[in-house]
Amino acid sequence: MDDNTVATLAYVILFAPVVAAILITLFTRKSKGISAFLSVGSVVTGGILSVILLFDQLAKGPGTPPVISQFEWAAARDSAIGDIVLNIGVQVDFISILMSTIVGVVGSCIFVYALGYMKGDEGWSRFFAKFAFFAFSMLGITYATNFVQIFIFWELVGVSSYLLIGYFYQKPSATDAGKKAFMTNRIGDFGMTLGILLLFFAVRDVFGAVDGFSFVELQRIFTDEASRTLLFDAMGWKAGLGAFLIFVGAMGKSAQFPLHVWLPDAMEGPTPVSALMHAATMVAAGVYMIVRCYWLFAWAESAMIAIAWIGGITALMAATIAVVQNDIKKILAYSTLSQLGYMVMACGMWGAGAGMFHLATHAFFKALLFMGAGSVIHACHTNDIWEMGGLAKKMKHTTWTFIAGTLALAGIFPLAGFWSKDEILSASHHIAPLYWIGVGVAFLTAFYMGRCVFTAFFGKYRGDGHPHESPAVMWVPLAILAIFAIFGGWVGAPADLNPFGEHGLQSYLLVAYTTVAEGAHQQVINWPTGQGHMAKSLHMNVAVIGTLVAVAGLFVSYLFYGSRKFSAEKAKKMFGPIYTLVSNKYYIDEFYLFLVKKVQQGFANLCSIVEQHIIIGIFVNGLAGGAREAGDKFRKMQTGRVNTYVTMILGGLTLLVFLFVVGKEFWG
Amino acid sequence: MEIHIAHYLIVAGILFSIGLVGVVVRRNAIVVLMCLELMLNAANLVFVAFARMHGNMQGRIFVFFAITVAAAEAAVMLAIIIAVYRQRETVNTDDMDIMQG
Repeated sequence: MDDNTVATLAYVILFAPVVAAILITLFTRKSKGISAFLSVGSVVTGGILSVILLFDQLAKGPGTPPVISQFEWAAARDSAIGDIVLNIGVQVDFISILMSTIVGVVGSCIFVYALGYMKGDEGWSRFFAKFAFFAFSMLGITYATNFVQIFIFWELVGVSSYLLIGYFYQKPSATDAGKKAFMTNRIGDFGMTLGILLLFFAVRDVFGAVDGFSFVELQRIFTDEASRTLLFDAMGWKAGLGAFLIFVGAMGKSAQFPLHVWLPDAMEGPTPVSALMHAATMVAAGVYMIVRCYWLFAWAESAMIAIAWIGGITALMAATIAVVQNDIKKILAYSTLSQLGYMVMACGMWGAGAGMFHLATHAFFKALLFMGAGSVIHACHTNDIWEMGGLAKKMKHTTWTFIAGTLALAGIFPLAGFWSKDEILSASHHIAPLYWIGVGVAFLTAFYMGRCVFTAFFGKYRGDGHPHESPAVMWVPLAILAIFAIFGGWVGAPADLNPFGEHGLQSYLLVAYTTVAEGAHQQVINWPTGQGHMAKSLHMNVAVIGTLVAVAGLFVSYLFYGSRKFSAEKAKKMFGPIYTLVSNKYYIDEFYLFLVKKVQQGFANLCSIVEQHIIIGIFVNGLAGGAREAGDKFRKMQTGRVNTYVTMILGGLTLLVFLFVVGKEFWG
Repeated sequence: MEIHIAHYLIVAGILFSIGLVGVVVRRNAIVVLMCLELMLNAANLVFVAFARMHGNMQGRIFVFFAITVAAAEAAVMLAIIIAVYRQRETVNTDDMDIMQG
């Protein structure tokens, strides 16, 4: 395909969902069928076109230069300080196509599934309009050509997530969760704004009239050693700060510690929303942005170390919390947090390829797990895994697909999660504590997923309903995703195990970002290229340890929750205070509540006192009161009697005469 | 004793002062009006005295006009006083204080 066709297809993929959203909102709200058709159709179209683009890109081979098509959106022209031009357009390269394929394919499955899940809901059209808008926002991030565009869509993702989390607006908890998600994200976005501007002005100061927002321009600057040195010398420590501030945006969207608090609450939205948000859109945006701007991060060593540790902490913290959750969606939500931490950790250790690969595989099996959970909730009318049990006999399709997703997430050979987890662990091989955190998280992941499966799907049914299999419109997407979850990882396997040999996913991913970061590997961290994520063959020790802990995790969970050889209650007592700490999510929400209620409220009260007493009391009312008092005093002069006035005239006249005649003598 | 310009001016000053004190201290509107006439005529006297001293006509012409206008003015003021009296049954200026602030 020539560049024009590629760009046109990208525009169609990008704008189809928003056109659908607008049409639904304006015209077809009443007719549910057309609304659903428009919404699902736009995303399925996007998915198909993305796959076409992906195959085209694969045929062109690794390292194809990006296709960029953009038009001027706004400009401030000034010959003295140079023009600032903001562009909107599409940048089509391997990474954006891969992301768009994930959004399109996973999104299509989720949209079809939503047809079944949302059946009979009053806000059907509203839901599908917002849902398509959500997909549009994410695709806008995917195809962004510059920082301003990515930021605009970044905010749109925030808005649409707010709308969808608060979809059940009659429920106060849902609207609260929507607000929480939006505000937490705003904190991250603010950091991102600062980072973007810092970088922009630094580039402007050093290079003059260069478009300091454009990814391609910035990539050129950062890739070229001479200009990079020039820029870094000029920026000094601000380079690391800028990179970290941009990462703060990713912390908000990808829910990294300490901005992770919104994600578990976001479960208040309908389950398809959770699936979309946790798999393909929103939380993927942060990791995607890190990979997108890898030329920047790769050189900012201090920021990278911070990113790696934040990712590691998030992964471990969320995995431990997931162990003690009872709500099936909450388990999956903390699992997403933990896996995002994994990806960010990998990116922070110069393993952006591994992070992106895990993002791809995770999108498939996490969407699968969420939709499986939705199917279970649909059948049991409860979220509590202790009120389920024995569903394997009643819901065969859901059970098998859910187990496939669980094994993939746990990282059992040869399912998708195994390959990407292996890449991540290999990438984190260099920093020992983070590597062991990674291994520990792998164990915990297998354990909590095993706990969930053994409790919900096996044993005896403990609820009081009549669970039944969901309709085909719901389980067929599950089956499709299950196929991806089982086999999807092979495309990214190391060369000697990959069905495509040397031409696996990694070869494309690596070229896509190592052309810009290859030098960084050697210079910044002084590791020879070809180590870590660039594995030609499987790292046997990493793979064996990874698999062993995953199997061990599943086995231990079987002992606790399957065969009940060990008592979970006893373990709970044994861990005592640790259990309390973890089950209260490390009191982070409480800490924020304290910050807001006590510290912020205290400061607000102080401001209120200053306003009430000093600003209003002295300046506003004080001045007005003074004028009124003076007026009250002076109006007594107006007696209304002619005699008084005449006396005053006489006095005034005398004074004037005195001034003119006598005064002149003295001062004249 | 020759009558000098200063004598005229002294008489005019006395007349003016009497009028002014009357306006300030008297409470009867009619008396206030009469005192105003005194002040007016003190001014007229000064005009005439200077006209005579300079031996020209300007001052006298002024006085004619002033007397004419004063006559009309007195008529208007008396009419106002009568109107006020009909309304409030008093000509005491102390009672006319509805414009008080």
